[in-house]
Amino acid sequence: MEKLHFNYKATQPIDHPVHVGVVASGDLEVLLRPTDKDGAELAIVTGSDGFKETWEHVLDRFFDRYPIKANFEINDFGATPGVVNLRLTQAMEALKDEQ
Amino acid sequence: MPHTLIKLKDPTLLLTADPLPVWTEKILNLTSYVIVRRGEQQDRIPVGIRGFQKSQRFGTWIHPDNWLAAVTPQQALQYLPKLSSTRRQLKPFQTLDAITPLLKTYEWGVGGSLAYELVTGIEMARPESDVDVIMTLPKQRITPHEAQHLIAELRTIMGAHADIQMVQGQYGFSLEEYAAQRTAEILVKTNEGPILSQDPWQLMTEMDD
Repeated sequence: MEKLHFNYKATQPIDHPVHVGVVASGDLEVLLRPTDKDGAELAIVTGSDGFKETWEHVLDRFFDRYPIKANFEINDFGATPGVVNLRLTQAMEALKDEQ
Repeated sequence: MPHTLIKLKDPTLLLTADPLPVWTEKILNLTSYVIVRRGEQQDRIPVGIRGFQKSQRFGTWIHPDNWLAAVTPQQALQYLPKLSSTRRQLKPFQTLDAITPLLKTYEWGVGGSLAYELVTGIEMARPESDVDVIMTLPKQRITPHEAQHLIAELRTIMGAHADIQMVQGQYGFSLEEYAAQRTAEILVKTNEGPILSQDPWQLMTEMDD
């Protein structure tokens, strides 16, 4: 198990929490909470060690597109980058639907 | 189909450009079983090799003829009586025994480390191992409400999370996500990557298999 931390510059605050995904093999859950901080903070717990660069790659692209200012808690159970991307997209949809 | 264990004819004939990690050699000396992964199967079958560590997973491909036997998650359950009484006392195998009566009306089986140990005889399961239930999508739709009820019952045995994957061909979604109805769309894993669907049940029922 590995714990990863990332910070990103972000401008778009959120006003309510969002929870997508599930605790299941090959999947992940993503929790977004409003924050008072200046940017986005991510805490990732992953069962698959040694993928820091892969995460960075996925997240760079995500924050380029969605500069969401929030606290991100991600619990990963061996999801593929494709599943990670889609869960993050789903979190954006959930934000949009409820606003 | 994904999650099926297949016994290779020749474990040295893997179709991969990347060099094999050292641990894969060790494990392939112990067993010639690999696990089918999701993905296109036209000229080659995507498979995964698993090692003793959670980080030891290696994705590769095999020629469609390079196999001798295949064991589905459902067939893996038939190996339970052959398991030694010591191993059977391990928590996840106890859990597997305990959920069996609850699932008797469904077509289901087991994946992950439990299936691997049952079929290969290699002691891969740990006390904290997850019980990955792989269930064939029933013809009769389970409503989200019924799914919530089943998940709640399973949780009392399996703990906080009941990992039930509903599958049809290469498609699969989480019963827990379907039951929770937290989002309008559910993630469906397919041979071409994951997609979001408002009604995965309908989507998968309409599939030709």
